[in-house]
Amino acid sequence: MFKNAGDFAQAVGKLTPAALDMLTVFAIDDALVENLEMNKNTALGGVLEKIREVLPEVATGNIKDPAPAVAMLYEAAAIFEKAADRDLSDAEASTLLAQCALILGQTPASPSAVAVASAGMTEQPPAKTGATGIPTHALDDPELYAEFIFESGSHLDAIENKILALEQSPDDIDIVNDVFRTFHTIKGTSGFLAVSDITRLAHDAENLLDAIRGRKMVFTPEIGDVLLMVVDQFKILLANLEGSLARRPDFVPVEVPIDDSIVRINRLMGKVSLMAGPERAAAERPATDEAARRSSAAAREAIKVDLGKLDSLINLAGELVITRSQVEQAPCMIGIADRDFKSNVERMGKIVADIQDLAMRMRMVPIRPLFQKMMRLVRDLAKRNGKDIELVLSGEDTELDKTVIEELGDPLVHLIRNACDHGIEPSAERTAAGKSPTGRIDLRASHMAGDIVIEISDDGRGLDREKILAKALKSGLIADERGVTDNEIYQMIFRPGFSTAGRVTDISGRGVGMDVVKRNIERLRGRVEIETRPGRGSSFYVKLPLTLAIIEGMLIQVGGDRYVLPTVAVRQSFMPKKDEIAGILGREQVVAYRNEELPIVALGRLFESAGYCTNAHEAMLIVVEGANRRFALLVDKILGRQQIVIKSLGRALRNLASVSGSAVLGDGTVGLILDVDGIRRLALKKEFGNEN
Amino acid sequence: MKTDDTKIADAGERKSASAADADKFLTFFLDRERYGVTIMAVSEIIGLLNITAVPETARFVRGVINLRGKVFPVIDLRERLMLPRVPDTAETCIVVTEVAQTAIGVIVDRVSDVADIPRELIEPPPVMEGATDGLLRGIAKLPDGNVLLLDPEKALLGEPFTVFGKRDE
Repeated sequence: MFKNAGDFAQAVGKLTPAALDMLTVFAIDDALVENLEMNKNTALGGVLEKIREVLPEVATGNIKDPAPAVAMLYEAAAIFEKAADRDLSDAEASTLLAQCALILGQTPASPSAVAVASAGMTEQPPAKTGATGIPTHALDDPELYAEFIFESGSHLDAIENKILALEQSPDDIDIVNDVFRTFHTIKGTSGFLAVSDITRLAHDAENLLDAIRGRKMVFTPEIGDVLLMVVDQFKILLANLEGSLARRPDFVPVEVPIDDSIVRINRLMGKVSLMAGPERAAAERPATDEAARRSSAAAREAIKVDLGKLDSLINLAGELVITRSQVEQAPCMIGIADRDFKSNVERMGKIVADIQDLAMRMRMVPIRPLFQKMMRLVRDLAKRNGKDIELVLSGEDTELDKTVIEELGDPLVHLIRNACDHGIEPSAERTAAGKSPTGRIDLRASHMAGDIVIEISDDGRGLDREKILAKALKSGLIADERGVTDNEIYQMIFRPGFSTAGRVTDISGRGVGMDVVKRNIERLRGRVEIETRPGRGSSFYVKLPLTLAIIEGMLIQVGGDRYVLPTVAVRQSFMPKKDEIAGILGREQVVAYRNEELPIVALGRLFESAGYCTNAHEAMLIVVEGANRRFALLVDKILGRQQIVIKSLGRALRNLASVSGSAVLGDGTVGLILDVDGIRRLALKKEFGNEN
Repeated sequence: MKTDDTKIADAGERKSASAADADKFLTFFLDRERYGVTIMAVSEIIGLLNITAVPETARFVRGVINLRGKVFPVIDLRERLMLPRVPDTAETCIVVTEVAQTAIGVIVDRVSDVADIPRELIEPPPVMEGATDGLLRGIAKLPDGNVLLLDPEKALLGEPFTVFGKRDE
């Protein structure tokens, strides 16, 4: 198809995104490669090979945004045109290769990096730096920088985790290599974008790591500290960049003493020959490329999707399920004898269910990144408290709804802080108590009976029951301790302003936080349970629903209305015999259930439904439990169980006690999801005018 | 000044009033009056769907509906404006609004049309009795009658929807 590179260039130059499928043709044109090989232009050959990798990706639509790829191809075309007369320079070739790698890797930074690289190649003057240390052209192309900030954020998280891993196994050169490469990537992009502070810092960190992997230095805790400091400074620099991008008038960039880090690095480096510098780093670039290729292969299997789009998909899938049941239950379906048609409808139903299932699962992400953040937290807290603490993670692959994970961050930080600050004793105290001087915190995620359980356990001193009790009595939370269970006492620590900490540190204490923990977790429809043994440690169990979006529900009928009762709250349902029910206080009724007398709440009367069944022995009783209290709910009928997609009732109705949300039922109408504890409180309020 | 505007309206040339001095309102009937709400607050008009009643809500809250997978409350505007209750008819419909990022369905007797109302024709609202005071943004004196212009935020969101009180925080 092409006689020479010039033809190729011309063809590529004419491309429009709309004609991208033509690219496949180019990708398989071997004549061009042969031509190049004959001309012994190896750099050009290398680039072409890479482009041949890019083209099918573009052509098959695997690359979401083809614009940068097309821009790169234009660039390549221009160079190929010139290459007809002369060799492609190494610099040009490597820039093109980097662009290809970025496109193939589909890293979010790719469009930006490519755009900038292209700009650089058309000999734009080097970027100027504004007064805030932010390149002035950042404001011309904020998206580019936003991508860089986003990307670097996850790079920094990765670096942080690896440095923590290095502290455990300082001889692991593979980790050093990984960290080196990641710093190198940041340096590369920040160089493109002319964010000079980051480039300088990354450059020095890279040198330090290079000395380690070249075995000129060994990794010491001091190096770990410096590298973490660099990571922290990067974070601030990125925040500064973000702030000035947002052009908030009140934004003041935070002063970052990067020179301190650079001096510290150089001082550390002073112990070795300073020759192991950037030259070596450059020589190692093939390895970096290899890593980039490997990581890009992994990254290609994931794409970023806007959460709003995903939620629309989930909504539509839900609608599909409803429409399916409407079709299946249509009266005319019964009259249809066509077996093919019937089996097609059935198959369609299965596919619809699969789609809904898949859509729901798309919101699920592993908890690993959140857990790994805690590693750094524990390390820092241990250092600051002068304690020795080990954090052991397990179940990091457990998947949770994305929203749940986002909301879980703060409570988890509070609980871990609490364990480090109050739970784990200082080493001397531990040794005196016959324990290992190193404290241990376990952070575990697991599935348990339809819930996700996050366990935070420490082997510290445990909660001081007497101290909590004394405080609760003193502050009037309870009148006297009779009839108060241990669990109720421990739950006191979640009351606002409740703290027994003798010593207040800058990290935790004063009881600020534990009430926030509880509130945040309850907002996720979860709960916290405490187990503690004096002198042996405490465990906090955060129990969360698998997803915020779907629950197993029992569909019930009361009068003409249908409601959904979350199955987790249901203990048992039965048709009571007449003699099992006793009336007290006139209208109030109780039912005998397993040696207990449970109050009966007639849902129809509570909700003032029309035409509900009033006689307990003619209807259904459902024993429910919420907030550790049991009662029996009187309903007309149980219609069945089903998985339901939870929908919010909107802001205007968020204060309802007895209803926690809604679900779209099979016929398209809305069914309300009941909140068992809220019903109990509503009933008390209606019957006796009080709420507890 | 005012007569000029009236003339324009009389001549049926409301369109000629430029966008700068006329606003579009969806107008509808409730009881014996014609009301208007800025079309900026209106997303669509639908027929009466099956409404699910919700406990612990104010009288003016009819319940919630599902519209293409989205669930939101529906209020009875007659009830909200303290007008007498009437049975629904074939013309009763739900005006779906979005006020302060909150979707709310509003039941009205009958939808009239979308009118360009020049600002000069809008007069400040009279002081009304009791709870309905402050719900109007103004009164448009159109040649074919008055239109009571609702303040969407106050009329639709001004009163709490729930009555039991707040959930424990």
